[in-house]
Amino acid sequence: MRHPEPDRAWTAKLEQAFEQLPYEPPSAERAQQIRTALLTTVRDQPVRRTPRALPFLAAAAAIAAVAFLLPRPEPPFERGRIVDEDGASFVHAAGGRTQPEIVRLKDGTLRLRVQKLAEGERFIVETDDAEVEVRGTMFTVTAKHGALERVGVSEGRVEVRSRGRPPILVGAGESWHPRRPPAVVRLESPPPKAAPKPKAKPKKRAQVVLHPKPTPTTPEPAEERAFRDAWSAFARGDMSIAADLFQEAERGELAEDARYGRALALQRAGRLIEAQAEMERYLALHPHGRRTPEVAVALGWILLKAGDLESARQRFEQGRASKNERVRHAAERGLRELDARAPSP
Amino acid sequence: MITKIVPFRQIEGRAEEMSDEALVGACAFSDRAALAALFDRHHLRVHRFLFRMGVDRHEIEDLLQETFAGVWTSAHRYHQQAPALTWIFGIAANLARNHARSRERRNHALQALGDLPREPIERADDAAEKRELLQQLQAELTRLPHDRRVALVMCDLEGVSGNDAARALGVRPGTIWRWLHQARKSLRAALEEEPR
Repeated sequence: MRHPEPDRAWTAKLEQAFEQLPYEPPSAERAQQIRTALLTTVRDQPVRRTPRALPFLAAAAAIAAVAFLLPRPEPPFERGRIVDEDGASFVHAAGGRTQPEIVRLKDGTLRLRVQKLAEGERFIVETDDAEVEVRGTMFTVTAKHGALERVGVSEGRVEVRSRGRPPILVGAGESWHPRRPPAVVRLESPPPKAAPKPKAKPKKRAQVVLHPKPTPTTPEPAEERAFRDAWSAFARGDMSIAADLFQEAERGELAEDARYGRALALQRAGRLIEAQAEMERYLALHPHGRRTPEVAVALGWILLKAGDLESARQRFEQGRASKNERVRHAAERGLRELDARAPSP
Repeated sequence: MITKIVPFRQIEGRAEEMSDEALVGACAFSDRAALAALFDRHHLRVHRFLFRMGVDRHEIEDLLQETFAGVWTSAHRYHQQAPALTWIFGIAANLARNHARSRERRNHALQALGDLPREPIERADDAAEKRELLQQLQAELTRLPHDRRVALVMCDLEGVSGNDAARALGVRPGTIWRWLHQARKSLRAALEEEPR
């Protein structure tokens, strides 16, 4: 059965009729205001997590689409100039003051030239299994099916951090390959009594942070690995897997954030009863936590949907106390929705 | 699991050079520049779409922002099932429907209090016939159920194909055609009726 196309006379009449309606498009200035508000709002739905004392996990979870709150505004920067050598599949996200500039490479080869980084700025190329952090260089990176295949450096130095291997510095004229011993400097802790390396101090550049002061024998704590893997799963949309991994990560300094991540993943997975339980647990354990107002609002919406209006109202009121405008706005919307549903006397 | 590769930024690519579909794909990787580019390209059309969907003019801007915020949060679920703009219209249509329901509930509540808000009718001094026709059109549009209105606005006014509209709205093509036929029938009667 074909789509019944309208005759042109009808469409013209309809368009003419709609043109008569009192429509006013937004002015350019107003559109700009909406645009700014939009970008501010989504910025406050952080897509990557920067744990407090574990900044290297921030790089691993850099391009994860999650609803977190970033506490401070970050002016974006782009220091990388990227040339696609062979139709590579990749995405490039600008950096901020506490967020590295990220290139996520899936397949193919990129040639990159990275400008001198200012204090606090970082530039990282990520694959599924590794990351390459640069210190003002020209280099190429090749990946295949998400796995890092080769890094070749023309100028400067990069640090290659590959899963299951100690981090490695690759200098100008050198290359790294996963299947042969790299002829490059290997980072150790403490470094051997080497001759002073004037270039080893990037001065104003962001230091490469290795956890915990890397030694080849220091294993990554299980909860940190689980936390990083959880965010990767979240970014892929595997919410149930992410929820399970967050549960594994619920230890030590990561516990609060892992509980939050789990609640969010369960909600996104549509497992609302479990999400509700997780949110209530979070709120009980962290009555003054960093995410408390946001979790309260999220729980409010679940309760509203379930018909528990009184409890929903309490949670929205709790969320309204947030210092974050987006959370307050969401809480107020919830309260308006409740008012709209209030039964008539 | 993503079943289709969405093209990402290419060769020193800038957001302005990317297709809509690639921009949505980039949004899934939290590229705010991509979201900004989508907004710059399409905010006027989405604004007009929301207006045509009957959203109150005081609320359109809020829903416009919410639509693109919805693009951001839903981008990971976009697998090119429909052209990106049509998919965005689908998000806007859902928001408009929820908005209409909230307004209806609010009006019911106010009505119970004897305080039903009235739509202001703007009157001009001339072109009375045109004004009457307009009022008939507005009245008919207001009466049109949401689904039929979506089909009419998307297909007859925004030029979206029936199949794309069906995919964006998550219904069968036959359903879209039925809604379209019913909407046209209702409006044709209003548009072609002689003004009294």
